Amino acid sequence: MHEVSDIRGLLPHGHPMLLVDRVVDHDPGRSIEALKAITICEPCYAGLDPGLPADRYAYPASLLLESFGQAAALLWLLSSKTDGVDATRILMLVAARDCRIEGCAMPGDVVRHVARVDHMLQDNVFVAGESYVGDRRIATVGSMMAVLRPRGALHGSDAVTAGVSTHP
Amino acid sequence: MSVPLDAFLEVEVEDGDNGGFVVRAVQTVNPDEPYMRGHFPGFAIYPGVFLIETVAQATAVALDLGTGGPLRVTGVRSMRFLAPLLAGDRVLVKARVRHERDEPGAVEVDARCERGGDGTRIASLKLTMKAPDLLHA
Repeated sequence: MHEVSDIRGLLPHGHPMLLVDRVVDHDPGRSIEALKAITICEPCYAGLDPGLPADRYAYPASLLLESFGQAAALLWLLSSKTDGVDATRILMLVAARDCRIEGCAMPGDVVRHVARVDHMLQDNVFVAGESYVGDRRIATVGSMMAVLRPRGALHGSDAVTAGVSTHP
Repeated sequence: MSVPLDAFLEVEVEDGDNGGFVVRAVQTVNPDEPYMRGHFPGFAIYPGVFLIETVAQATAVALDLGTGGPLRVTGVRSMRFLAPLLAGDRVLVKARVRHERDEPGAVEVDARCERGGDGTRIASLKLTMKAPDLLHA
């Protein structure tokens, strides 16, 4: 089990874009199960007028997929620590296919992501998995591809100062 | 509908070849948006998944349903991110939108995104969106 204090030491994402609350299980290099609680306090709900029907409160698909991607990144990063692989490299999402949004998560729900490594090829990792609320599957990720890059690669193709910290 | 940010500034729509529509939209990367502050602290990169938002929100408005309407993303058939978008960058989106023949109320959106100014290809996305009340054109 890994709580947010561990997660914040692994993912460079900051508030409010850190979209994984807890890792409940992981099999290094193979699979991970992680949770993300949905709450009305998130910025995505700030602009909704009162009186709207319930379906307007569905958690955005973009953030659901991002949350899944962060769970997949944690699988790699936790495995990296275990295996002693260079943990200064991070996973960057570069592609995905066959993702289906089959249901929705609402404030009060806890989303459970289950991500599995399909295979790895050099510095490329292919993951697949699903997201659930309770027993109800709300999303399927057919394939998500991420590449390992040095943390400096966050600064885009034009390298900026190498010493800039992503963990202020 | 709840959205992480207002993901486009301008949108135009025109009829496409072979039916359907072509939606063009523009977005600027604003590091002061709430979610952008965390992606990443001290250095802003437009999340790839927010290009889903740019394409989806612009399509919903272009089809005259508004972002408050029920049109929502039901699938990402594919997405590829080729280059990062940084603070201040403009991204130009061109999306072909076609009604899905076999699924009433669904549209296929095939979008290409490039950086304004230098034309660098940023991403390609193929989405499926669905609205229960969306009628065939």
